[in-house]
Amino acid sequence: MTAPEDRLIIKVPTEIPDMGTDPLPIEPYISAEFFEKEREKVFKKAWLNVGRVDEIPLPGDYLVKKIAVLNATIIVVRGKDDQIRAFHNICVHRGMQVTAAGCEKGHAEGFMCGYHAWVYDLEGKLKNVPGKEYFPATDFTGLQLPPVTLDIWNGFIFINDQDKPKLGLAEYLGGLSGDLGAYPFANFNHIARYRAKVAVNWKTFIDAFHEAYHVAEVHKNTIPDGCNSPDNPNAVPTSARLYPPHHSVSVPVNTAYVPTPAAALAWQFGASFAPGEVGGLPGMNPSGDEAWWFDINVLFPNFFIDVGPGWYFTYNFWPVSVDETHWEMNIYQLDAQTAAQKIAQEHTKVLLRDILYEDLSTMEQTHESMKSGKLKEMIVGEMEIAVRHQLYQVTQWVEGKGCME
Amino acid sequence: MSGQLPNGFKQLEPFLETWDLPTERERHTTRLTSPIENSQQLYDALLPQIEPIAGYLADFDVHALPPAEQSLLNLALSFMEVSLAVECLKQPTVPGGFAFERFEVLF
Repeated sequence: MTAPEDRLIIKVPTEIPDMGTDPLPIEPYISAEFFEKEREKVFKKAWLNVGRVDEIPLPGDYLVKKIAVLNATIIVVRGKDDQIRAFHNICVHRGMQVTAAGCEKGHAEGFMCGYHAWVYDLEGKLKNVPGKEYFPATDFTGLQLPPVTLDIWNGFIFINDQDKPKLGLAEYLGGLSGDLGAYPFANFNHIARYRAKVAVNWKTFIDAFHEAYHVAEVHKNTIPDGCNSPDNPNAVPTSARLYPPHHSVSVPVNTAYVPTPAAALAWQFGASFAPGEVGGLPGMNPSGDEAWWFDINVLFPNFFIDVGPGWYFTYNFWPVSVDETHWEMNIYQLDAQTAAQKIAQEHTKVLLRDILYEDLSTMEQTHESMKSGKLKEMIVGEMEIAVRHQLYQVTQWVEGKGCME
Repeated sequence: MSGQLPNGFKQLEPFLETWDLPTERERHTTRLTSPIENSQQLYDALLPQIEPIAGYLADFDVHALPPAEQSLLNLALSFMEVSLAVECLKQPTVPGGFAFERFEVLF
């Protein structure tokens, strides 16, 4: 077998852990027992993104996040002091939730349990108990909604199931934060949100999104020649950076891409997701690659921030069971000052969304195959370094060797 | 939904009934559930008009458009919604794609 040309070998300027080159075992993607270990050793230890500060701009604005893998429902609320805090959605009386069933977002002066009307303020403190005199044995001092550890990075809100996580959020994000931290997230508007419930293991879901090898086939109807070019026919990433447990992969662009008429109009007016003239924004293309399209930044374990010139988007992959994952995508763009820019932004949204229909089409079949037990391992190539690194990290964490132990 | 368009764009008014839609969700649903011919007609009529529309609307505050101007912008956004179906997919849905009934568009 001839080795790839030098220029088509993925450049990784960071240290690469000894991840081996063997095929990857299928078991971790289908084993309910392994999933329980992931729950305890990965999701209950890692910092997990639950939203952005701009979703709750005013004191009293709150989000309610049901996080199945933590067996928890969490309230994220901006207090009167402008501080954002998180609490378990649990009344300390007899455990009822203090927000209405199905509520995802709201604005309130405080929270009242819908069972016996116990009232909490925005800082989570118990403020009123009807018939308090009938609880003579109870010391109400200091009672409050159970707090959840929370921190914020560049407007992204993260929670941690540990009272005292081994690493703070900034330290946890490490080198990735250094690269990505300069990106002007605060200047962007939230323009789209998509969701789907998919019968697939969360890792298989994630693995569809951090390599470009699949683009020519999976995206043959939407953007077949976006990455693949005569110069780089297999869409080898221009570079990758491993910041364990996180990683970042730069997707190549086909510089000879011929835009459709609608994509050409979008680029005339603003920035489309379709390949085009790249303006400079700090925090993107950290390796200074040529023929660069965008960066896929994977914040371990389940959050992506993909950044490009004038748009960025995020994915949250929430495991529900070993066989089910709830997915959410959010798209952000620089504020549209003109109708023309708004028209251009619509192109980004529509193109990305239709691309996602293609991405989501492969994984249930893949998961079914994996569950058949006929395939014991999967073959992963150099272009799929992120797939290997993700499982390597999950395995390390499950074995108690993660950075949060 | 104003039912009318500014002077200079009156010829596009027949499209308002179907495509004057304020949200991505409505535009997307309409694309998915309409014959591709409907999307093609909108695309063909709007393609040469997108630059004039952008030019005309440049004089307005995009965050506070009057009703007829908002309808005009909605048509341009519907043009982008159908563009991929017309230019690449040749059908309303993504061939071989994830079931659209299971794909939730929230905005």
